[in-house]
Amino acid sequence: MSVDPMEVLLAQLFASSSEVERFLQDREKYAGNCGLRAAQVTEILEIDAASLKFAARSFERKRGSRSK
Amino acid sequence: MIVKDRVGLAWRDELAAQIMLHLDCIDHLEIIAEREWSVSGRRLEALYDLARQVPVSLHGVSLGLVSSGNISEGRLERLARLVDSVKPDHWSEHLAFVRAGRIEIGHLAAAPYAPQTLAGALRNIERAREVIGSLPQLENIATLLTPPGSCWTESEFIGKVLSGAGAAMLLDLHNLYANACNFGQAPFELLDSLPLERVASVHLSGGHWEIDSDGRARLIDDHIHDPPPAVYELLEVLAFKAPQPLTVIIERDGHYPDFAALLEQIAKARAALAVGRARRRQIELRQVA
Repeated sequence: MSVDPMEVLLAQLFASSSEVERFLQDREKYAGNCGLRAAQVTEILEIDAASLKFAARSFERKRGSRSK
Repeated sequence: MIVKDRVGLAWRDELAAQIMLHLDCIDHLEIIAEREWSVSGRRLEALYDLARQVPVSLHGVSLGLVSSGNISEGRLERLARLVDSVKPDHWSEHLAFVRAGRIEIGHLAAAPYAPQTLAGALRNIERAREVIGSLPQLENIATLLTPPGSCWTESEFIGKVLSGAGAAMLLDLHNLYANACNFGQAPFELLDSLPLERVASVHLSGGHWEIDSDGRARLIDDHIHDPPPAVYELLEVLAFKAPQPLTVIIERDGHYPDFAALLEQIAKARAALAVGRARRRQIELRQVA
Protein backbone atom coordinates (compact mmCIF):
# COMPACT_ATOMS: atom_id res chain seq x y z
CA MET A 1 0.00 0.00 0.00
CA SER A 2 1.24 3.49 -0.79
CA VAL A 3 1.80 5.84 2.11
CA ASP A 4 -0.67 8.67 2.62
CA PRO A 5 0.95 11.96 1.46
CA MET A 6 0.12 13.57 4.81
CA GLU A 7 2.32 10.99 6.53
CA VAL A 8 5.12 11.73 4.08
CA LEU A 9 4.83 15.44 4.81
CA LEU A 10 4.82 14.88 8.57
CA ALA A 11 7.79 12.51 8.35
CA GLN A 12 9.78 15.12 6.40
CA LEU A 13 8.97 17.80 8.95
CA PHE A 14 9.71 15.59 11.97
CA ALA A 15 12.95 14.35 10.43
CA SER A 16 14.48 17.76 9.83
CA SER A 17 14.15 21.22 11.40
CA SER A 18 15.35 22.79 8.14
CA GLU A 19 12.37 21.18 6.38
CA VAL A 20 10.13 22.86 8.95
CA GLU A 21 11.60 26.26 7.99
CA ARG A 22 11.04 25.52 4.29
CA PHE A 23 7.48 24.40 5.02
CA LEU A 24 6.66 27.52 7.04
CA GLN A 25 7.94 29.78 4.24
CA ASP A 26 5.30 28.47 1.80
CA ARG A 27 3.00 25.81 3.20
CA GLU A 28 0.85 25.41 0.07
CA LYS A 29 3.79 24.94 -2.26
CA TYR A 30 5.40 22.47 0.15
CA ALA A 31 2.14 20.54 0.46
CA GLY A 32 1.76 20.47 -3.31
CA ASN A 33 5.25 19.00 -3.66
CA CYS A 34 4.25 16.24 -1.21
CA GLY A 35 1.13 15.44 -3.27
CA LEU A 36 -1.44 16.47 -0.66
CA ARG A 37 -5.07 16.64 -1.72
CA ALA A 38 -6.93 19.97 -1.50
CA ALA A 39 -8.66 19.05 1.77
CA GLN A 40 -5.32 18.03 3.28
CA VAL A 41 -3.76 21.34 2.25
CA THR A 42 -6.43 23.14 4.25
CA GLU A 43 -5.50 21.00 7.26
CA ILE A 44 -1.81 21.83 7.12
CA LEU A 45 -2.50 25.55 6.89
CA GLU A 46 -3.82 25.28 10.44
CA ILE A 47 -0.72 23.67 11.97
CA ASP A 48 0.52 25.82 14.83
CA ALA A 49 4.02 26.96 13.85
CA ALA A 50 5.39 27.12 17.40
CA SER A 51 4.19 23.59 18.16
CA LEU A 52 5.64 22.27 14.94
CA LYS A 53 9.05 23.88 15.54
CA PHE A 54 9.04 22.62 19.10
CA ALA A 55 8.10 19.09 18.00
CA ALA A 56 10.82 19.03 15.34
CA ARG A 57 13.44 20.18 17.87
CA SER A 58 12.24 17.55 20.31
CA PHE A 59 12.62 14.82 17.67
CA GLU A 60 16.09 16.11 16.85
CA ARG A 61 17.16 15.89 20.49
CA LYS A 62 15.67 12.43 20.92
CA ARG A 63 17.54 11.21 17.86
CA GLY A 64 20.71 12.79 19.22
CA SER A 65 20.41 11.26 22.66
CA ARG A 66 19.77 7.82 21.16
CA SER A 67 22.88 7.93 19.00
CA LYS A 68 25.18 8.65 21.97
CA MET B 1 -11.08 -10.82 44.81
CA ILE B 2 -7.32 -10.32 45.13
CA VAL B 3 -5.80 -9.29 41.79
CA LYS B 4 -2.27 -10.48 41.02
CA ASP B 5 -0.54 -7.40 39.64
CA ARG B 6 3.12 -7.36 38.69
CA VAL B 7 5.60 -4.51 38.99
CA GLY B 8 8.96 -4.51 37.25
CA LEU B 9 11.56 -2.61 35.30
CA ALA B 10 12.68 -1.92 31.79
CA TRP B 11 15.92 -3.86 31.29
CA ARG B 12 18.93 -1.69 30.54
CA ASP B 13 22.43 -3.15 30.38
CA GLU B 14 23.63 -0.37 32.70
CA LEU B 15 21.29 -1.77 35.38
CA ALA B 16 21.88 -5.47 34.67
CA ALA B 17 24.01 -6.32 37.70
CA GLN B 18 21.64 -4.64 40.15
CA ILE B 19 18.58 -6.15 38.46
CA MET B 20 20.04 -9.65 38.82
CA LEU B 21 20.86 -8.96 42.48
CA HIS B 22 17.30 -7.83 43.18
CA LEU B 23 15.22 -10.20 41.07
CA ASP B 24 13.22 -11.08 44.18
CA CYS B 25 11.80 -7.52 44.14
CA ILE B 26 11.11 -7.45 40.41
CA ASP B 27 8.07 -9.22 38.94
CA HIS B 28 8.66 -8.42 35.29
CA LEU B 29 11.37 -7.22 32.91
CA GLU B 30 10.83 -5.45 29.61
CA ILE B 31 13.59 -5.71 27.01
CA ILE B 32 13.94 -3.42 23.98
CA ALA B 33 13.69 -5.82 21.06
CA GLU B 34 15.82 -3.91 18.55
CA ARG B 35 18.83 -3.92 20.89
CA GLU B 36 18.81 -7.73 20.77
CA TRP B 37 18.42 -8.22 17.00
CA SER B 38 22.09 -8.67 16.25
CA VAL B 39 23.35 -10.28 19.43
CA SER B 40 25.31 -13.50 19.82
CA GLY B 41 23.74 -16.91 20.36
CA ARG B 42 25.16 -16.81 23.86
CA ARG B 43 23.31 -13.59 24.63
CA LEU B 44 20.08 -15.09 23.24
CA GLU B 45 20.53 -18.11 25.51
CA ALA B 46 21.02 -15.76 28.46
CA LEU B 47 17.82 -13.90 27.56
CA TYR B 48 15.97 -17.21 27.25
CA ASP B 49 17.25 -18.22 30.71
CA LEU B 50 16.30 -14.82 32.14
CA ALA B 51 12.77 -15.22 30.77
CA ARG B 52 12.52 -18.52 32.66
CA GLN B 53 13.43 -16.75 35.94
CA VAL B 54 11.10 -13.78 35.63
CA PRO B 55 8.36 -12.90 33.11
CA VAL B 56 9.92 -10.95 30.24
CA SER B 57 8.33 -8.88 27.48
CA LEU B 58 10.01 -7.77 24.27
CA HIS B 59 9.30 -4.15 23.44
CA GLY B 60 9.56 -2.99 19.83
CA VAL B 61 10.29 0.63 18.97
CA SER B 62 10.74 0.61 15.19
CA LEU B 63 7.99 -1.33 13.43
CA GLY B 64 5.84 1.75 12.85
CA LEU B 65 2.60 -0.23 12.95
CA VAL B 66 0.28 2.76 12.85
CA SER B 67 0.79 3.89 9.28
CA SER B 68 -1.14 3.84 6.04
CA GLY B 69 1.92 2.14 4.53
CA ASN B 70 3.07 -1.43 5.02
CA ILE B 71 5.54 -2.40 7.71
CA SER B 72 8.92 -3.87 6.82
CA GLU B 73 8.87 -7.65 6.39
CA GLY B 74 12.57 -7.74 7.28
CA ARG B 75 11.97 -6.08 10.64
CA LEU B 76 9.05 -8.38 11.36
CA GLU B 77 11.13 -11.45 10.60
CA ARG B 78 13.94 -10.29 12.90
CA LEU B 79 11.45 -9.68 15.68
CA ALA B 80 9.86 -13.08 15.04
CA ARG B 81 13.28 -14.78 15.34
CA LEU B 82 13.93 -12.98 18.62
CA VAL B 83 10.50 -13.89 20.01
CA ASP B 84 11.10 -17.49 18.97
CA SER B 85 14.50 -17.51 20.72
CA VAL B 86 13.54 -15.79 23.98
CA LYS B 87 9.95 -17.04 24.30
CA PRO B 88 8.76 -13.97 26.22
CA ASP B 89 5.54 -13.58 28.15
CA HIS B 90 4.37 -11.17 25.43
CA TRP B 91 5.64 -8.50 23.06
CA SER B 92 4.62 -4.90 22.59
CA GLU B 93 4.92 -2.01 20.15
CA HIS B 94 3.80 1.58 19.84
CA LEU B 95 0.73 3.18 18.34
CA ALA B 96 3.02 5.22 16.12
CA PHE B 97 4.65 5.60 12.74
CA VAL B 98 8.41 6.04 12.50
CA ARG B 99 8.97 6.36 8.74
CA ALA B 100 7.16 7.20 5.54
CA GLY B 101 8.60 5.78 2.36
CA ARG B 102 12.33 6.31 2.63
CA ILE B 103 12.12 9.03 5.25
CA GLU B 104 13.14 7.82 8.71
CA ILE B 105 11.89 10.04 11.54
CA GLY B 106 14.14 8.26 14.02
CA HIS B 107 11.52 8.35 16.73
CA LEU B 108 7.85 7.64 17.43
CA ALA B 109 5.33 10.00 15.82
CA ALA B 110 1.57 10.22 15.64
CA ALA B 111 0.01 9.70 12.20
CA PRO B 112 -3.39 11.28 11.44
CA TYR B 113 -6.19 9.79 13.54
CA ALA B 114 -8.11 9.00 10.40
CA PRO B 115 -9.63 6.06 8.46
CA GLN B 116 -6.64 5.51 6.15
CA THR B 117 -4.29 5.24 9.14
CA LEU B 118 -6.70 2.94 10.97
CA ALA B 119 -6.96 0.65 7.93
CA GLY B 120 -3.18 0.53 7.59
CA ALA B 121 -2.68 -0.08 11.31
CA LEU B 122 -5.13 -2.99 11.36
CA ARG B 123 -3.50 -4.49 8.28
CA ASN B 124 -0.02 -4.11 9.80
CA ILE B 125 -1.01 -5.52 13.19
CA GLU B 126 -2.62 -8.52 11.56
CA ARG B 127 0.51 -9.10 9.46
CA ALA B 128 2.61 -8.88 12.63
CA ARG B 129 0.38 -11.43 14.30
CA GLU B 130 0.77 -13.78 11.33
CA VAL B 131 4.56 -13.54 11.28
CA ILE B 132 5.25 -13.41 15.04
CA GLY B 133 2.45 -15.69 16.15
CA SER B 134 0.81 -13.39 18.68
CA LEU B 135 -0.66 -9.91 18.89
CA PRO B 136 1.39 -7.11 20.44
CA GLN B 137 0.27 -5.04 23.36
CA LEU B 138 -0.03 -1.54 21.90
CA GLU B 139 1.31 1.56 23.61
CA ASN B 140 0.02 5.15 23.43
CA ILE B 141 2.70 7.72 22.62
CA ALA B 142 3.44 11.29 23.68
CA THR B 143 2.90 13.85 20.94
CA LEU B 144 3.39 17.62 20.81
CA LEU B 145 1.12 18.09 17.82
CA THR B 146 -2.34 16.82 16.97
CA PRO B 147 -1.67 15.22 13.60
CA PRO B 148 -3.27 17.29 10.81
CA GLY B 149 -5.89 15.36 8.86
CA SER B 150 -7.29 13.79 12.04
CA CYS B 151 -11.04 13.23 12.25
CA TRP B 152 -10.99 11.44 15.63
CA THR B 153 -9.46 12.23 19.00
CA GLU B 154 -6.42 10.25 20.08
CA SER B 155 -8.56 8.23 22.51
CA GLU B 156 -11.18 7.46 19.86
CA PHE B 157 -8.45 6.38 17.48
CA ILE B 158 -6.76 4.17 20.09
CA GLY B 159 -10.13 2.57 20.89
CA LYS B 160 -10.75 1.80 17.22
CA VAL B 161 -7.29 0.27 16.71
CA LEU B 162 -7.47 -1.89 19.84
CA SER B 163 -11.00 -3.15 19.23
CA GLY B 164 -10.38 -3.66 15.49
CA ALA B 165 -7.21 -5.64 16.17
CA GLY B 166 -8.48 -7.36 19.29
CA ALA B 167 -5.27 -6.27 21.00
CA ALA B 168 -4.46 -5.34 24.58
CA MET B 169 -3.11 -1.95 25.57
CA LEU B 170 0.21 -1.01 27.10
CA LEU B 171 -0.82 2.25 28.74
CA ASP B 172 2.03 4.70 29.23
CA LEU B 173 0.76 6.92 32.02
CA HIS B 174 3.45 9.55 31.59
CA ASN B 175 2.67 9.82 27.87
CA LEU B 176 -0.98 10.23 28.80
CA TYR B 177 -0.08 12.83 31.43
CA ALA B 178 2.18 14.75 29.03
CA ASN B 179 -0.49 14.82 26.31
CA ALA B 180 -3.09 15.98 28.83
CA CYS B 181 -0.80 18.79 30.06
CA ASN B 182 0.27 19.84 26.56
CA PHE B 183 -3.24 19.91 25.12
CA GLY B 184 -4.99 21.43 28.13
CA GLN B 185 -6.95 18.32 29.11
CA ALA B 186 -7.64 16.93 32.56
CA PRO B 187 -5.43 13.82 32.99
CA PHE B 188 -8.13 11.81 34.78
CA GLU B 189 -10.68 12.64 32.06
CA LEU B 190 -8.19 11.55 29.42
CA LEU B 191 -7.65 8.31 31.33
CA ASP B 192 -11.42 7.75 31.44
CA SER B 193 -11.72 8.24 27.70
CA LEU B 194 -9.46 5.25 26.99
CA PRO B 195 -10.64 1.63 26.74
CA LEU B 196 -9.37 0.73 30.22
CA GLU B 197 -10.78 -2.78 30.01
CA ARG B 198 -8.08 -3.49 27.40
CA VAL B 199 -5.12 -2.33 29.50
CA ALA B 200 -2.79 -5.22 30.31
CA SER B 201 0.45 -3.37 31.00
CA VAL B 202 1.47 0.08 32.18
CA HIS B 203 4.58 2.21 31.72
CA LEU B 204 5.68 4.71 34.36
CA SER B 205 8.36 7.23 33.50
CA GLY B 206 9.23 10.89 33.83
CA GLY B 207 9.98 14.00 31.85
CA HIS B 208 10.80 17.69 32.10
CA TRP B 209 9.17 21.03 31.32
CA GLU B 210 10.31 23.42 28.61
CA ILE B 211 8.95 26.70 27.26
CA ASP B 212 8.17 26.92 23.53
CA SER B 213 8.66 30.00 21.31
CA ASP B 214 5.14 31.19 22.15
CA GLY B 215 5.91 31.08 25.88
CA ARG B 216 3.83 27.96 26.56
CA ALA B 217 5.09 25.37 29.03
CA ARG B 218 5.44 21.92 27.45
CA LEU B 219 6.02 18.62 29.20
CA ILE B 220 8.57 16.47 27.37
CA ASP B 221 8.60 12.73 27.97
CA ASP B 222 12.30 11.90 28.34
CA HIS B 223 12.63 8.79 30.54
CA ILE B 224 15.54 10.35 32.42
CA HIS B 225 13.55 11.79 35.31
CA ASP B 226 11.57 10.14 38.08
CA PRO B 227 7.85 9.57 37.49
CA PRO B 228 6.00 12.60 38.92
CA PRO B 229 3.37 12.14 41.66
CA ALA B 230 0.54 12.57 39.09
CA VAL B 231 1.62 9.38 37.35
CA TYR B 232 1.24 7.35 40.56
CA GLU B 233 -2.15 8.99 41.15
CA LEU B 234 -3.21 7.92 37.66
CA LEU B 235 -2.02 4.38 38.42
CA GLU B 236 -4.08 4.36 41.60
CA VAL B 237 -7.20 5.39 39.65
CA LEU B 238 -6.46 2.85 36.93
CA ALA B 239 -6.16 0.08 39.56
CA PHE B 240 -9.52 1.20 40.92
CA LYS B 241 -11.25 1.27 37.53
CA ALA B 242 -9.67 -1.70 35.73
CA PRO B 243 -10.31 -5.03 37.48
CA GLN B 244 -7.90 -7.11 35.38
CA PRO B 245 -4.31 -7.86 36.52
CA LEU B 246 -1.81 -5.20 35.44
CA THR B 247 1.88 -5.48 34.67
CA VAL B 248 3.52 -2.18 35.61
CA ILE B 249 6.97 -1.33 34.24
CA ILE B 250 9.21 1.54 35.38
CA GLU B 251 11.06 2.94 32.36
CA ARG B 252 14.38 4.72 32.75
CA ASP B 253 16.73 5.45 29.85
CA GLY B 254 19.53 7.43 31.46
CA HIS B 255 20.70 9.64 34.35
CA TYR B 256 20.26 6.49 36.41
CA PRO B 257 19.73 7.08 40.10
CA ASP B 258 20.98 4.67 42.76
CA PHE B 259 19.24 1.36 42.31
CA ALA B 260 17.64 1.87 45.70
CA ALA B 261 15.71 4.79 44.17
CA LEU B 262 14.39 2.54 41.39
CA LEU B 263 13.37 -0.05 43.98
CA GLU B 264 11.59 2.73 45.82
CA GLN B 265 9.71 3.60 42.62
CA ILE B 266 8.68 -0.05 42.32
CA ALA B 267 7.44 0.11 45.92
CA LYS B 268 5.50 3.32 45.18
CA ALA B 269 3.86 1.66 42.18
CA ARG B 270 2.89 -1.34 44.34
CA ALA B 271 1.45 1.03 46.94
CA ALA B 272 -0.59 2.92 44.31
CA LEU B 273 -1.95 -0.36 42.96
CA ALA B 274 -2.80 -1.53 46.46
CA VAL B 275 -4.74 1.66 47.23
CA GLY B 276 -6.71 1.44 43.99
CA ARG B 277 -7.44 -2.26 44.46
CA ALA B 278 -8.53 -1.72 48.09
CA ARG B 279 -10.94 1.04 47.05
CA ARG B 280 -12.39 -1.24 44.41
CA ARG B 281 -12.78 -4.14 46.90
CA GLN B 282 -14.58 -1.86 49.34
CA ILE B 283 -17.11 -0.91 46.70
CA GLU B 284 -17.53 -4.53 45.57
CA LEU B 285 -18.09 -5.62 49.18
CA ARG B 286 -20.68 -2.87 49.68
CA GLN B 287 -22.50 -4.03 46.55
CA VAL B 288 -22.52 -7.65 47.80
CA ALA B 289 -23.80 -6.54 51.23
